[in-house]
Amino acid sequence: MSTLLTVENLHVSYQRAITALTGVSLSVDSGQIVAILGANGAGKTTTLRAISGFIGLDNARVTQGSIRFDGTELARRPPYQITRQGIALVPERDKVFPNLSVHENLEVVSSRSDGAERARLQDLVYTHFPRLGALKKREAGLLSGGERQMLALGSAIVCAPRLMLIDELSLGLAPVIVEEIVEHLKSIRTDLGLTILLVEQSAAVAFRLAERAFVMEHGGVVLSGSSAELESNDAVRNAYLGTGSEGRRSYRDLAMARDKELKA
Amino acid sequence: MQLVANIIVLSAIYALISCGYVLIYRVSRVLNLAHGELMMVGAYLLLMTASFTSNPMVAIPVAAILSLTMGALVYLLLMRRMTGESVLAAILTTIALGILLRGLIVIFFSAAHQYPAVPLGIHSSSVQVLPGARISSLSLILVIVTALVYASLFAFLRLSRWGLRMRAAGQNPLLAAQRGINLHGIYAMVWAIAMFTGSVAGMLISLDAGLDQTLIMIGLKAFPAALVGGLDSLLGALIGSLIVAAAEVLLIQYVNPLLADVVPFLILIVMLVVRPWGLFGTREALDRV
Repeated sequence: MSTLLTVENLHVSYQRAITALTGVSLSVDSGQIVAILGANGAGKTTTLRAISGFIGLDNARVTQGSIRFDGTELARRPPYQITRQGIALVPERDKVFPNLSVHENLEVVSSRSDGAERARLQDLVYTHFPRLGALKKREAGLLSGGERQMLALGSAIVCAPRLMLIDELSLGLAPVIVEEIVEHLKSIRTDLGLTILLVEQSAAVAFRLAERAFVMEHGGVVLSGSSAELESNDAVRNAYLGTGSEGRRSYRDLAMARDKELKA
Repeated sequence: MQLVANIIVLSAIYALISCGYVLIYRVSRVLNLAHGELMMVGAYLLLMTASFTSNPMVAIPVAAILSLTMGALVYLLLMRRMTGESVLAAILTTIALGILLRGLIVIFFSAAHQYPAVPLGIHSSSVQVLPGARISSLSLILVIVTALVYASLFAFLRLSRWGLRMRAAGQNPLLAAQRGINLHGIYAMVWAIAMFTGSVAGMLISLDAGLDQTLIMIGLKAFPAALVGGLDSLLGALIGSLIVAAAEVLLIQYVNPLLADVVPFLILIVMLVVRPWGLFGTREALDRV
């Protein structure tokens, strides 16, 4: 399996003063689903945003490091070029154009796919999310949370990506909707041969979907491994699954506490 | 009836100019306070092309193409650098640009009142448009051009993929960029279209009434029309232009002609107090300023 995305020693700062990432390194193999776990403020969203590119309004910039996608350096490139290279982001919030209809949200995409390919991908979206097909003319701002997430995934799919970045797939959604979306996502991934890098607060959802995972804290990666390894890691279970006796604390805190116990 | 005809002509002038304010604001959230000067530059471009050829079928299209190009260049060379800066910085930049253009116009074309219609051999005749109401033939052309421009803009924004992308960029520039849209390309296009429509207005006004720096005042008076309608609504610009033009014509007729330059700004102040987002604008859009 070849490596599709390599992030090395990535540093990002906001407003030239606030350092959000301090040397993130991770890699994603072609065809894999990889998750990034971490507490609020760990730098998960910033990592996805840096990969998908910043615009001037973000007031953020990559100060150091590299992002290589299929051999091409993408760090500091504008988002539209990155999208056309084959990376599509599903953002955490403001994920659809509220005053455009559902169909216009799929139509507005400017990607490397031509007219016929775009129509095929739109059909694929409507097939996997039939609810969107029934709401083609409805303004996206009037959709429910679950429908918006489906539309956001759909418009990212119309970008004809090879790598899809998903920020908080399950946030704010009812479990039954998350279940529906996850099933469709798996099926779409098989149809298109997609590689997926997702940020997920719910470790249960992340471990269910992903083959590998990275744990982030304080702007850096502190742990990585297969989902099975991480799921059985006691510190990770305590920090992110809430199943241990020590409650929900950060991975680093738990690791330090364990080290102290061992030394004692 | 003459009053009605005058109101229609004046609202067409304001509408043709104010759509430029609305387009730029709606897509890039920049209040372009140099729009009046850019409109005047368009008229002077016609004066320049008229000095090379006396054929209006060549001089007018060439001036229009030059204004399109200049609009795109204003964005690419100047306003592009304002991306990520505060809204105030962008507005101040347009004010500075306006002052600069006024100075350059005086240096290159002088401050004298000039008539581009003369070298082009254009003579405006009087046309009866309503029973008992006559307007100049160039005013009639201006009304028709305004109708065509608005019909084209509505169709472009509603039906074309580029128009759709402009609407998307106006709603959420970051998401638009993440969906593969080149924001700088879209913004350059919208500045080009805005300068083009403003220049067409400037050219038609100057062919009818001559050209000097007072043309800027007409451009400035179109701003209240855009704001009354709602800065992010083309339909609002049309209605706002009608309201401002009607108030201006009626007050000139029945109260005092000296109020002509004051009325639009009185309406602007009233609107800012009562409903700052305009008749058809969105409150959210104004909150972002």
